[in-house]
Amino acid sequence: MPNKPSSSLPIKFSAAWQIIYRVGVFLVGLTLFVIALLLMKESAKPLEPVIRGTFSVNSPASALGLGWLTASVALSGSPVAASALSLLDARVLSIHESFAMISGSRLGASMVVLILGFVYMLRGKDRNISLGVGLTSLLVTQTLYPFVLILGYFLLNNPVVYNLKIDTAQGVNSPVNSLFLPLVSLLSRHISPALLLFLGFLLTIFSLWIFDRAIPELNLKQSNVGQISQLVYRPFVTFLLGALLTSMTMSVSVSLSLLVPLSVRGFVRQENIIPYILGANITTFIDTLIAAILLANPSAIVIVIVLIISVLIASLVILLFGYRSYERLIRRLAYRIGGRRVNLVIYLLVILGLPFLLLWIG
Amino acid sequence: MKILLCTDGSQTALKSARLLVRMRLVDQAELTILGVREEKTPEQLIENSFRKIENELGGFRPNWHRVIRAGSYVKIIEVLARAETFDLVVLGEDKRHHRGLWLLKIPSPGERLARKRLETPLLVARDVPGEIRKVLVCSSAKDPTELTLKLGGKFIAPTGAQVGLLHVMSQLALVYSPAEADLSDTAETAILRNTPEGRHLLHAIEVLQANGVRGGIVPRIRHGLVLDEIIGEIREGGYDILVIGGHHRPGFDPQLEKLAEDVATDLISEVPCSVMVI
Repeated sequence: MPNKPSSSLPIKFSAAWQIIYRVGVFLVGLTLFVIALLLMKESAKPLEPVIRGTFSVNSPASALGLGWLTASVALSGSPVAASALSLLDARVLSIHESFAMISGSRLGASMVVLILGFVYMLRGKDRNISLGVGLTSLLVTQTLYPFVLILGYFLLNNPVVYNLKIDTAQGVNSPVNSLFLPLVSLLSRHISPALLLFLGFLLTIFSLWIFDRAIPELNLKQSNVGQISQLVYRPFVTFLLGALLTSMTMSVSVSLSLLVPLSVRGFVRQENIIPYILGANITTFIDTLIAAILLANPSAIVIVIVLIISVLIASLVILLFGYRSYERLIRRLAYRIGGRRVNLVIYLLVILGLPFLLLWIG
Repeated sequence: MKILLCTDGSQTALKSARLLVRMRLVDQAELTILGVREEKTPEQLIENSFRKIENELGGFRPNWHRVIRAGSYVKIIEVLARAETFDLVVLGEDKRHHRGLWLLKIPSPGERLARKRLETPLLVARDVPGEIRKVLVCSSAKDPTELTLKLGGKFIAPTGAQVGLLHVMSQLALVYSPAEADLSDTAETAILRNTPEGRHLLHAIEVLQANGVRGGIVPRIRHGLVLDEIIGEIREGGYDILVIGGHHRPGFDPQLEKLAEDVATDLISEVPCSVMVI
C-alpha cells in the first residue's frame, strides 16, 4: 500500500501547538530538501561523462528513459524530478532533456501501486481487484503523457516561453542556497561525486517523507465529497478534489490513500477515481516547483510550469471533449490487462523494458 | 393521481398517451393535457394534438383539463409543474443516440426537463410496446433510493410487469481487505453473504412489494461503469421502461445535488426505452 502520511501526533496538543509543530516539521523538511538539491547539483557536473557515456543520456528520449527507470526503482517520482532539475542547474542536462526526465519520473512513479498489486497478486488474490487502482493510475498517466510531451515540447520551443529562460541562471544564487553551500562544499571535498549524488537522492526521499508528516489531518468524511465510495460525482468535482488534496500531499499515491477512510471497505467508484488521478497529476509537481524555486533557476521554473500547464491542458481536453470515451478506454484496458496473468506479465515487461529501450535508442 | 401530459403538437406526444394506457394509469388519473405553442406553431396543431391524445386515451373525461400556453416548450412545462402539485409529468420524444463530442450534443426536451430538477417524477416516453412486460428499476443503495423505490413501485405496480432490480458496482478497492470479495458478487451471492449490497437488494424488494409490485422481482448486480452497465442491462434484458432516481427532492442536500453526476439525465439520451426519473 502507498505510504500513508502519519500525521497523528504522539500526544495531544492544543491547536496552536499543532500548527507550530507542523510548521516546524515543514521547515525541517524544507531545509533537508535544499541540502539534498545542492548535494545533487554539486555532484552532477563531475558525473556528466558517466551520465552521458555510461547511461547514454544524450537526448530527450534517453532522459525520458532515465527518469522513468529511476523513478520505477525509487518507487517515487519527486526525488527523480528534483534530480533532473539539479542536473539542469549543473548544466549536465539541457532544458528539453530535463523536461523529458521529469516527465519520465511521472511515468515511473505510477509503478508504486502496480508493483505492490503485482506482489499481492502472486500471493493468489484476484487480479482485477488487487491491481485495480494501480493499473488505473498507471494507465491514466500513460495515456496522458504522450500528449503532455508533445504539448510541452511545443510550449518550450515557443519564442515567448523560450525568451523567459535566462541563460545567466548560473549567476543567480538564492540566499537559501548561499546559506548551505559551505556545508555542501565541505562534503563534496570528502565524498566522491557518485556517493554524493546517491546521498543527495536519499536525502530528497527523506525530506519528502518529512513533508508528509507535516500534512494536517483531513476529515473528508463529513464533507460533501465524503461519499466518494458510493455516489458518482461530476468529473470536474473529483478532478478538483484530486488537484486540491495532492497540492497538500504532493504525491499521487499519498493523496489516493487519503480516500481510504471514506469507505468502511476501502472502496471508491471508478467514475470518481479517474478524474481524481487526472487532477492529482497536475499538483503533484508542486514539490518539483519548490525545488526549481529553491535552485533559483528560471529555466527550471519555466520547465515545471510548462509541464503543469501541459498536463492541465491535456486533462481539460479529456474532461471537456471525450471524458466518457476516455473513462471506458481506461476501464477496458485495466480489465484486459488485469484480467489474465499472462497479459499482466506482458504489460509489466513492456513498461519495464520501454525505459531501457529509450536509453538504448536515445 | 394528478398527471401533466405535455404536447408541442408533434406526433411524439402520442407516445406519452400510449405509455400511460399501457401503464394503466389513465383510469385513476386526473389529467391535465398541456399544449405548448412555440413561436411558429399554429394553434390548430395543438388542438389536433389534443384530439389525437384523447382518442388514444379512450376519450375525454370530465375531470381532465386542457391548457394551452405559448412559449418555450420546456420552460412552460417547468413553470406549470412547479406551480401546481402534479404526481407525474409525461412527455414523448423520439429515440436519440448521442455518442459524439460532449459539446456537440443537443439535449432533447426530456433531458432539458430532467436537468431542471423538478420535484415531480418525470416520464419520458419513447418507443412504446404493445404491452409493458419488463421494467428495470435502478437502485444506488443510498438514501434517495428509498423514494425511487416507493414512487417507482406505485407507478409500475398496475402494469403487472416483471421487475429487474439493478444495482451497479463500479467500485475499485483502494486497500487489500476481505471486503474485496464483495466486488465480485452476483445478486445471489451478495444476498447469501449478507453484504451491504445484498441487504440493500432485499430491502428494495420489500419496498417494491409493499408498494404494490406483484410481478416477479429479479435482483441483479452488475460490475462496471454505472452508465454503461445500466445501458447494457437494458439492451440485454429487453426492458420497456427504466425507473431511476434523480438527486433532487425535498430533504436532499442541495450542495451535494450540485456535486453529484446526473446519471438519470445522461441515461435519457442513451437508452432506447422510456425513462421514468423519480
